[in-house]
Amino acid sequence: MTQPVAEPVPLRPAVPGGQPPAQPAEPGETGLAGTLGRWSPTRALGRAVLVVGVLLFVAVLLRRTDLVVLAAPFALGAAIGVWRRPEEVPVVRVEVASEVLSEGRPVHARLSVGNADPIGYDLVVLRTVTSPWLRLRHSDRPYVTAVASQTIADIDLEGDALRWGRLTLGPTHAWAVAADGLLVSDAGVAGPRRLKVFPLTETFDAVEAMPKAAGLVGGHRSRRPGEGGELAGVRMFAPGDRLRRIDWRVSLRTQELHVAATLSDRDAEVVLMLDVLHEAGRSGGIHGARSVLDTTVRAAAGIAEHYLHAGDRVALLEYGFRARRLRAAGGRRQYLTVLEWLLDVSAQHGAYEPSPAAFGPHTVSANALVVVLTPLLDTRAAAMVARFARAGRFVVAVDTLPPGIALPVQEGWGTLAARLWKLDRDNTIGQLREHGVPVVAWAGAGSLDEVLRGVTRMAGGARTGVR
Amino acid sequence: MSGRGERQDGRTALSSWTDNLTDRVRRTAPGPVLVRAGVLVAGLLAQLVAWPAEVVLNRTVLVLIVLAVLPALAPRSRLVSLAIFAAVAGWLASTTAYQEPLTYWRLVLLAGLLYLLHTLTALAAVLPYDAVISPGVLVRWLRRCGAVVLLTAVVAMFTLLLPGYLPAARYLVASLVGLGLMLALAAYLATLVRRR
Repeated sequence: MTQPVAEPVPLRPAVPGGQPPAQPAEPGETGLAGTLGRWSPTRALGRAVLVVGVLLFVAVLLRRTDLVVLAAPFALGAAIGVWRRPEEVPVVRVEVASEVLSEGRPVHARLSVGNADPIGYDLVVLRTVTSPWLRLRHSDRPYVTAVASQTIADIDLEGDALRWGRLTLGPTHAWAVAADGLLVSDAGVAGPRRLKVFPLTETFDAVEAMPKAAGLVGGHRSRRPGEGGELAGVRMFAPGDRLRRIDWRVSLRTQELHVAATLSDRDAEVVLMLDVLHEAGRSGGIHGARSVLDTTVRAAAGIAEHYLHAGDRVALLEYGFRARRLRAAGGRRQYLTVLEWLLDVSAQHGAYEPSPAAFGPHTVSANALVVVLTPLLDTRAAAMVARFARAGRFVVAVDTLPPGIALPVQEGWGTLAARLWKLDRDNTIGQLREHGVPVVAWAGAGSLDEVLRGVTRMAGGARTGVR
Repeated sequence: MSGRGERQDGRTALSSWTDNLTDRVRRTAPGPVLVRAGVLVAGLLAQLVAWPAEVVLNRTVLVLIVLAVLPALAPRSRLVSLAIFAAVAGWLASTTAYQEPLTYWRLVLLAGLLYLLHTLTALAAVLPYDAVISPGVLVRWLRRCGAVVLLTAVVAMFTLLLPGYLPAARYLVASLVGLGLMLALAAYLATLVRRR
């Protein structure tokens, strides 16, 4: 645990700006008390002085030398301890093997406490604060270790990151005890280390169906002719056609030049809207139960990964009072940005409706597929989804409410209230379906296949009608 | 109405206190418990050694047990000083009123036990109740305590045994010098006690 160092270790101050200068002794105070610097006497030192003083006084009064012997260990212990007292306070440092990791991955951290003084500490009490989703051995209790002079004691903290988010390890405080418990130092502090724990992406896969492919390039088959891999038919040669597109078999048969026409491959825009008005359910981390936000974030990460891998552009929008937004973009870099963006998702309760101007249909491209991840616990979210559908956007609602969620009251009137609430929620879902919004419970891979096919069919039908 | 409210508040406070206590007991670590057990044993032995046999073998021993338990329960309080002075009072009573012989080993044993009580209480006072303690900490602490007790035995030898071999005048001078040194030491420590 303690590693001796051959030479004095140049320790970096844990607090930015270095150690504050020692307080000057107050006027009228002896210089000895001032020399304690950043160390303070404990009650035990006062007790030792009291015992020595009283016993010596009584010894003189009663002419008893045995009382001097009884006072001797108190006097000797205090004198030796105070004579050989350290002056430097402990220096703390927190190291983390990796500050970027994903849920369920092991965390390796190390607390180091250094003693730059030529006199050792009797003991050092280390206390650190960690996020509840960091399960580290010894991190929830103070740790006491001895630190010899000019050495560093390391304490390894091993554990797991249980849940996504921005987790903190620290701040860490360490205070030393010297002179057999008669002196205690000011605390050395190491600032918190922030860990980025990315959500474990849900395995997600979806059919190739996409209501409208809108970009110039991409992986989706569009309905527009152009350079692509999907055969659309054979037509007469026209100026501008490439020679390698000429279908020689048809041309020979018809005695006129014909070319094979293809449909262009185009990308699509997917907007993931995260309803963060409510958090429900109790999160048990990666190995336990899921809350609404757990499902929302992991599902969003999975969907974004799938569509970004397919070459589409993905945008994210938070339906709440912060109205956070991530612009649409594609590629690997956007995926990392999405993961980073998801770390800051948190529930935002409020009595008012988030501004319709910030969440109106005009904020989303007309060709985009809008996937709303919502627990459907609030009529405000349902109304927002309905507005998008009425405006002709392609909307899919993904129900993120955990199945079998425990209600706070489960007996008496609570049961009846729960049934009423469930009926009301079913009614809301039914109304959304009447508006043409498919609502599907999140179930990982293939969750959206059926509804995506339906939305694509509807999109194709609408285009035919318009023509 | 207000009476019912007060009763409810009292019940809530009691429930909160009970929960807090339960949580503390659940989180208590073996290291600090071991130190406090050491405080209890040292305190009890000090009282038993200090007080005369008539008191120890009587029902009044319960008072001594209470005096030994209090520092273990509240190591940061003034009860520790009370326990130490009670033992000293017992020692004085034992050697004067009960006329028990003042032997060298009993005196050194009592001095060592009182210092052990004092230093273990100081350790218990700085240890959080739920702390995980590295094993070397306790061993080094007891080793330092042993060294101080050893020095005390030497001091006791000079104080009790040496005077028999010295002439009376030199003994008086040596006593005065020794007393002066101890007083100077106490004054030096007293200046340090004054907090910044």
